[in-house]
Amino acid sequence: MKWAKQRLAGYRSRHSDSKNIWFYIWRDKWLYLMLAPVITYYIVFKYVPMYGLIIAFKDYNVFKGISGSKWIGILNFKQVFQTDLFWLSIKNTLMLNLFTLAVNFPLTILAALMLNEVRCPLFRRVSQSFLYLPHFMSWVVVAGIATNLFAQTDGSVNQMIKHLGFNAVPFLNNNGWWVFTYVICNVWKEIGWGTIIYLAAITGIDESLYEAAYIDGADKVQRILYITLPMIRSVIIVMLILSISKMMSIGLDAPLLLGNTKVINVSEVISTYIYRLGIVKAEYSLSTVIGLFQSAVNIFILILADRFAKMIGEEGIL
Amino acid sequence: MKKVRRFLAGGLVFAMAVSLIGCKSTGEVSKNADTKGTAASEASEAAGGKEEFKTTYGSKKFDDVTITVEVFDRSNAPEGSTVIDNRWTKYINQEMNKVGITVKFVAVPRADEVNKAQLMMASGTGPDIMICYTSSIVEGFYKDGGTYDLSPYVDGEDQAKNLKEYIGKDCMDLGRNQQGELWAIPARRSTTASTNLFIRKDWLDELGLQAPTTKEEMYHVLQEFKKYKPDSFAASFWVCTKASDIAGVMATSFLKNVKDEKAYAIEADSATSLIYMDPGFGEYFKWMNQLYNEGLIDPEYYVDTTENALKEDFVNGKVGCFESNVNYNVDSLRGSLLKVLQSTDPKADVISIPPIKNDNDGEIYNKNYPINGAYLFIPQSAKNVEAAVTYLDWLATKEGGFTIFHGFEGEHFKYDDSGVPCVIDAGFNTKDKDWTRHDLFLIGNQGYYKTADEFALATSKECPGYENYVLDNFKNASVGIIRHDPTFTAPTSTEKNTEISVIREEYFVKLVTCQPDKFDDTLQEFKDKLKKAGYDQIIKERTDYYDGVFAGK
Amino acid sequence: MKNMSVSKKRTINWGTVINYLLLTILVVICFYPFLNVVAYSFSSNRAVLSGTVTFFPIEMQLDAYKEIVHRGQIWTAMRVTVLVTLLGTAIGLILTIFAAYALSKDKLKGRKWISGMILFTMYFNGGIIPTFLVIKNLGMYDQLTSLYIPSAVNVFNFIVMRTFFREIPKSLEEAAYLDGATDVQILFKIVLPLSMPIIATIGLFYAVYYWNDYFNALIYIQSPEKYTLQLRLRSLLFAGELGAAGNEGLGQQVMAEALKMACIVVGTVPILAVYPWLQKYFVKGVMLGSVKG
Repeated sequence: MKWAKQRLAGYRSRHSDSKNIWFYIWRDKWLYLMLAPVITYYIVFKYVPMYGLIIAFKDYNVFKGISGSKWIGILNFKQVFQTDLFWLSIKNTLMLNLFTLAVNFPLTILAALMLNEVRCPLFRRVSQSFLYLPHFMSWVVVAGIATNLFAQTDGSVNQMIKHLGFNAVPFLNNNGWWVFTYVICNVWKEIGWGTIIYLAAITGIDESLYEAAYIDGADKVQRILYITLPMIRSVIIVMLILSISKMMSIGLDAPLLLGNTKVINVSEVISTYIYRLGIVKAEYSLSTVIGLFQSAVNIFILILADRFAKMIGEEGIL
Repeated sequence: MKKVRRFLAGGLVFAMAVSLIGCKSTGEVSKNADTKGTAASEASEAAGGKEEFKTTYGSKKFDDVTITVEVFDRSNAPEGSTVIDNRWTKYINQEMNKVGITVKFVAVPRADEVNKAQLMMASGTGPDIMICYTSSIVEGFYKDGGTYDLSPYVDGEDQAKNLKEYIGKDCMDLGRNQQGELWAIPARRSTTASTNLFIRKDWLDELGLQAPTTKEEMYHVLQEFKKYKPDSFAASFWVCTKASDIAGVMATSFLKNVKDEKAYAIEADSATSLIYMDPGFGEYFKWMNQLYNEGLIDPEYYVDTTENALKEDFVNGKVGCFESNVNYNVDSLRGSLLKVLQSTDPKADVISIPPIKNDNDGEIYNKNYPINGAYLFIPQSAKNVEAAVTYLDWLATKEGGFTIFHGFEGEHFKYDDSGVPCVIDAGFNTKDKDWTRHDLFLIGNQGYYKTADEFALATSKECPGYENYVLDNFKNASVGIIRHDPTFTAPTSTEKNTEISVIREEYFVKLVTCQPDKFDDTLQEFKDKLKKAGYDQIIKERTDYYDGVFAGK
Repeated sequence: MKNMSVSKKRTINWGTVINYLLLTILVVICFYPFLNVVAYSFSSNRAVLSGTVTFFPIEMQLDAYKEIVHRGQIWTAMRVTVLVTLLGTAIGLILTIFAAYALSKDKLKGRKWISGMILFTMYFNGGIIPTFLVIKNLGMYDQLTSLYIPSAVNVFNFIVMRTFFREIPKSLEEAAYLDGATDVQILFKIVLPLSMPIIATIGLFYAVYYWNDYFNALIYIQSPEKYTLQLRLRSLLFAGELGAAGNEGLGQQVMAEALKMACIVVGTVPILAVYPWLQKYFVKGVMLGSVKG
């Protein structure tokens, strides 16, 4: 019997699960201490209000409160899912987000690389400071400028096009072209700001790697392809995962302000749908339902993207 | 998979655990359905003559009561004062203290005030008197049990006498539902003039034309305008865009049902109802389609969702005939556009003309605002409704609203020969009083005036050099047979607003921009889609409501 | 500067020329609309209304700015916003660094659970009303704390920072452990000095967020003297706007158009000045003499 106990004790001591949890908390006490305020913050401000999600299953009356409102199960969900407009807005949200991502993502990285290659410090500083100006302009102003610029009859862009002998392009009144204009405006607005993270990452690359490559005879393009890009690979992947996992969400300002009634079939997205819901009466239950739907789809996409990242050897974010 | 499961499970368990705690501990607005019951029973007691609320100013001395009142903050308070603490709030308290009431003001930023109002209602942090422009939202609060029924405070013979006299029965009833309960006190408009039809007088003169009075004349004039100024837009009429869902005064001249007040009330709440119910409105769009395809209006009119395009075209002299808000051409609040235009083109002249004669019976019908403006309501969180209504009653008196709005005689205004208060020094008034007067004077839109003529006269004095324009504008907006916009919103319309708004936005622009031979099909498609979305139900509810209203007349 | 030691020759090759050219075009495209807004803000009402301003102000006047400057409330609001931005950025950075550092360590027990719990909140939130009620019950309604505490840690920022921290070679930390360093010392003496670029970046992200925040101020603040700059500016724009369903009417002359533009300039320029100042942190930490490979 004794030897069995000894073997059991030995087995237990080799496997960390058998060690006391307090052992680990004491060993990493500083780390847990650092986490304490953060966890408190999340509990108080994010998890406590989460009971509000239950509004999706109730006929929410702001005056009866959440507990006092009637439970109606999935009726709200049925109502939303049976609306054609809802599915149209999902389709448009996905389409606009995919196109924007496909154009914006590589261009941002490219811009960061280009900026990095600039030798002259003054040019670099100045251009970096100017490139991120569009990020600070509100969509109200941007949309106003865009509608003037891209007008078919006398917008500046079309005037140039007509000069070159082509027909005026319906940037804002044709479904396909409107998507193009939308993507262009988004790229213009965010590209400068987006380079900041990549530049921060590139700054951290060890100089000696470049020196070694230069000695080995690598030219500039090869240095970028074989050193810069791989070294910031994890940042790129993380940014990509984060962007993809927002596929189901979209801002309100851009589609609302750039869109018009002619292109309504491509400009109606989830955010404008929720906005319409709220115009004549606050529809908290329905907007919570839509929010839940968005969250569920986004998390699903996130898990897929994370899996994929792990498959290609990256860490992912989960 | 294990990690993913951990992640999801972790989140969910956490959420559930915490939410259970959260459910208990957060103090939401307590179930106030009971309070409404109390108010109702109080009311029946009052009706029984036991303890009626005394809401006429001066009829009761309160026992040191404090009420809170909403006031819009437009970020325009002069140095040394804020929107909740200035000379006028002090004056108000001075007067209200005489009956034992202290008035505290709660600032709400003018931008996004609907959002803020809804949150305040949901959390019980709203002031005792709140204001909102959208009737469906306010009535919705009442239906959900969040506001007081004000009829026990207002309907009695001795109650709120000043208030009732100023607002008038017709206007007050617009805040009542079919059971006679008063869910809001509607502010009265000083004038219901809403729209003007404007035209470039100098172009008419140079072409030797008269101002058009019929549809055919208008069409002829527009064609001449286009030939005369090919780079400009001959016309800019209201076509249903993203920004607006109502018909303009040009459209009114096409309507077939406008001669019947009840039929008009049923169909005229929105452009959507009109297209569904009135064949004349379809005719209007056919006409617009013709204008569009002949190049008489801006081919990209739908792109602009603000009113900036019209302003720009006006000021650059690029539009010949258009309709817009009343007094648009000279109103300083719109930018004194005519003055700006004349600074670059001194010969230019833009005047308003009376609405076009109706195509069916030759009468002039003038589309006007409803007689009410904003809606004032009192949330259940208010502790002393009697005092709040007394305050509103005081606002209707001369010491109250008149003084707040016009100021003190000799300091801000003097009476002219007809007894109309006229501004002495506009600059002084602006800094001293005007920046907040509209927001303090809650019970009347546009100010304290006895009649619309008084309003027009006073307003004309605020546009030096263009007084006659102002008077003409208001005259033209009131000439002929007046039709007020209906205020009733059918419940189904609120419910289905999301889908219907998309259908209407899509099809109105199609109606105007499609090829002429496709017009009839498109119109039919439009109506079919509306029918499928349940529009018949909306019409039925409207018909029932107005049957009731007109039966009582 | 990057790679300076590598290219000692001063050859101007086509790649460099095209690079500079493309970047210049991009810079101009990004800069022009802003220049346009600034030009409008200095132009006369007439010029603004007619939409003819391009690079330079037409009929230059300072009225729009005078209007803003004379509103004493703008300065109060500016002070409030600066205070909230500084506090919010400081708190946000500190908490984010703590969380990212602690959760970047493989050895931490429960790391995946805690990270998951944080990430979860990026997707699911209870909505405006429940959050509002929590804040109200904590006594933070109409207090400035409601502006910088509820947004303290941003999940996106946390994830990015954690990724950067994990990039630091483990060998450095192991060497420090061997020398008897605690987790805290490693954080302050190794990790932070090597992470200045990302700390500057995340700091900038927080600062911009707090500076631009409008919605939180709208719903949590009631006293006029606690309004933030964005809230003030937005209300100022509406001073010239008219109410729904027709004429609310105001008795004052407001140069609405140029004023709108001036508001945008005043609301944006201060925070724009932050980035150039931060650029000096965009140099990598000193790695000389550290462990190689």
